[in-house]
Amino acid sequence: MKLTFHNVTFERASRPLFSHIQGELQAGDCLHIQGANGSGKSTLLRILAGLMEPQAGTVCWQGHSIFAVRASYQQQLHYIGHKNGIKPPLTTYENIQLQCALRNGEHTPEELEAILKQLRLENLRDTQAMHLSAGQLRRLSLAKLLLQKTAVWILDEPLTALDSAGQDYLLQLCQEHLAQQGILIIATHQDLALEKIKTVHLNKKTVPMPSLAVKPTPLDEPMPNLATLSRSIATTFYHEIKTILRQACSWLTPLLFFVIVVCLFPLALGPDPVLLHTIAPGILWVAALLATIISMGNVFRQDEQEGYLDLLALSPLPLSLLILSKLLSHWATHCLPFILISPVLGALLQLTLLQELTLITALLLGTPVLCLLGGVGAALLVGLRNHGLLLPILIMPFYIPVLIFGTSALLAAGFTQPLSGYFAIMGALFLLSSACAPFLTSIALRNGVSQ
Amino acid sequence: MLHWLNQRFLSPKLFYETSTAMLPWLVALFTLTFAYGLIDGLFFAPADYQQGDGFRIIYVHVPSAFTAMAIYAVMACCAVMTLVWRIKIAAVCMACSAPLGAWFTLLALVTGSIWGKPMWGTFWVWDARLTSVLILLFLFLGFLALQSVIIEQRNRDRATSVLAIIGIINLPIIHYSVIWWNTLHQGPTISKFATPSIAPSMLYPLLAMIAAFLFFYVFILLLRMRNQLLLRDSQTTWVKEALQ
Repeated sequence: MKLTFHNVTFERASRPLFSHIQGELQAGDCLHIQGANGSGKSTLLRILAGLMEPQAGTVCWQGHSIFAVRASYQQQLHYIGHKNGIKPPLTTYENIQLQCALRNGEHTPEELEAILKQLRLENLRDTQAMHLSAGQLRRLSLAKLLLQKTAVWILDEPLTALDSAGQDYLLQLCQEHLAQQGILIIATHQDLALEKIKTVHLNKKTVPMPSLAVKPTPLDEPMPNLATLSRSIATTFYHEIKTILRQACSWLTPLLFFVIVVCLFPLALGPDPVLLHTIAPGILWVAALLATIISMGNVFRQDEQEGYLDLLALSPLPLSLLILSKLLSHWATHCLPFILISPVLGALLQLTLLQELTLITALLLGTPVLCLLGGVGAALLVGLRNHGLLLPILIMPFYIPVLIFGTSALLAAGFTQPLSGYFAIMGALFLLSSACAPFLTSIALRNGVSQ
Repeated sequence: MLHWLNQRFLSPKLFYETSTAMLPWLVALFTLTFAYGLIDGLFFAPADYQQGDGFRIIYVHVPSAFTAMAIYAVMACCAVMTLVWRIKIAAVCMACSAPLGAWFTLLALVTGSIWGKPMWGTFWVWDARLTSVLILLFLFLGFLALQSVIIEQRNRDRATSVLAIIGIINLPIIHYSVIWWNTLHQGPTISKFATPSIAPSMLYPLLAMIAAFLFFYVFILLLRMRNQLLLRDSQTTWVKEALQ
C-alpha cells in the first residue's frame, strides 16, 4: 500500500501557495501537516484526496495517478473536511444511513445503532441534525470512519469543536487505524502522540521527505455489485426526497410561483375566453419553465454549504448516477406538484379535455428535460459567489425546444390533430438529455467542488 | 501522440513565435480579400432584379453570420480539447473567441434588421433564421457571463467548456425546433431570404468577403490569444525572454 506525491505545486490567482511538496506514505505511516493559517493545509489535503488538482505534480496511489484510478482510490479513502457533510433536515440516524449508502456499504440497523452508541449520540437518534451542536455534528461526521474500513484517512482539523473525551476517542481511533496498517494524513495545530509520524511544515521551504519513483502495482478494480449499487442509489434518492419534503418552503415555492404566474396573465390581458384559450398553451409552458428554473437555483445550494457535495464527489459510487438520483428527487418534489395542479389552471384558461390530457403528458415528458439541463447549469455555478440570477441566463436558451414542442402539442390538441409526433420528439429530448446531462453535470460538479 | 503534439506544436512559446510570423500574412490576406470583395461587391456586381442596390448589404450580413457560426464551432472544438486533453492553447482560443463571436452575431442581427426594413417593411420578423441567430447571441452572452464570474483560471476554462459543449449539442435541436415552430405559426411569407441561384458575378465577391471576415477573425483572435498567453504565463521564463 503506497500513497506517493511528487512535486505538488499549487497556486491561487497566479501566486504560489506551496510548491514542490513531496513524500511517500506506506502502510502504518502518519503524515502530520502543519503550517500557519492560510499556508495551504486544507488545499494540500483536498489535493491528496483528489478533490482538487495541483498545477504541477502528481499524487499516486499504488503508483497510478489518483485521477486514473479514481474509483479504486475513493473506495480506499475517508476524507473529513472542515464541513461535516451532514444534511440538517435529516435525523442523526438517517444521516448515518445516508453516509452508509454513499460509501456503498451494507449495514444492518443494529450495526448502525451500535455506531451511534460508540459516538455517544444514541439519545439523539431521532433528532434532526439542524438541532445538534457543532461538537455533536462533528461526532456524527466521524461515523464514516466506523462504517467501513479503508486504507487512507485524510482528516482536516478533525479535533475542532470536539470535547476532550471526543478528542481522546478520535485519537484512539487514529491509533487503531495505524496499528491496522492504515495510512493517516492529518492537519491539526495540536501535537500528536502517534508513532511513526512524519511532518510536513508548509511554511518552511525544506521538505524532509524523499520521493521515490514507484512501480505501478496492479489494482483490483472494485466490482460493481448491481444489487448493492441500486440499493445504495435508492437510499440516497429516498433521503433526498425526505430532506426536501421536510423543508416546505423549498418544494412549495415553485408550485405557488406557477399558480401565481399563470393567474397574472388573465389579469393583464383581460378575461376574454377565446383569447385565453388561444394563449393558454404558451402561458402554461412559460410558467412551467420559470417555475423549474427558479427551483433549480437551489438544487445544490444547501449541499454545497454543508460540504455534502464533497462526499458525493468522493463516493465510490458513480457520480453521474448519484446526480441522476438527486435530480430525479428534485423533479419529483418540485415539478410534480405543479404538474398535478396544472389541469385546474388549464380549466381556468379554457382548455379542452384533450388539451388537459396533452398538457399533463407533455409536462411529464418535458419537465425532466428542464431539470436535467438546469442541473448542468446549477453545477456550473457551484463554488461561485455573487452569481445572482446567472442560472436562468445560462440555461433558458436551451429550454427553447421543449417550449416549442410543448406548446405545439397543446395547440395541435386544440385542433384535434395527431399528437404522437410531438410526444415522440419530447421523448427523444428526454432520452438525449438523460444520457448526456448527468455526465456533463458530474464534470461541472467536480470542477465546482475544486475551487 | 497527442502529448507529443501538445509539447511540440501547442506549447505557448511555440505558438507565440509562430503567430508572430503569421500576423503580417493574415493582414495581407485580409486586405486583399476585403478590398476585392468590397469593390467588386459594391460597384461591379449587378444589382438584384427585385431588391436593386439594396441587396448589397449581403456582403456584410452573410459573412458576419457565417463567421459567428464558425466561431461557435471553433469554440466547441476547443471545449472538447480543453476537457479531454487539457490543451492550454485550446482553452485560451475558446476564451478569446467568445467576445468576437458575440460581436459578429450582433453585427449579423443589426445588418439583417437594416436590410429587413426596406425589403420586408419591418426591422424584425420572427423568421426561423433570425430567431436562431438571436438565440446564438444569447448563448454567446451566457458564455461571457459565466466567464466573468469564475475567478480561478482553470476552473473557468473547464466550466465554460462544459457550457460550450451543451451549446453545440443543443444548437441543431434549437435550430430545427425553431424552423418547425416557424412553419407551424405561419410567419410572414416574405421571410425567406435564401438566395437559391445566385449569379457567379454576385457570388465571388461574397465568397471573398466571407474569407476576409474569417481572416479578420483569426487575426484579432491571434492578437487576443497572444495577450492572454502573456498574462497567463507571466511568471514563466519564455514570457520574460519574449518581452525582452
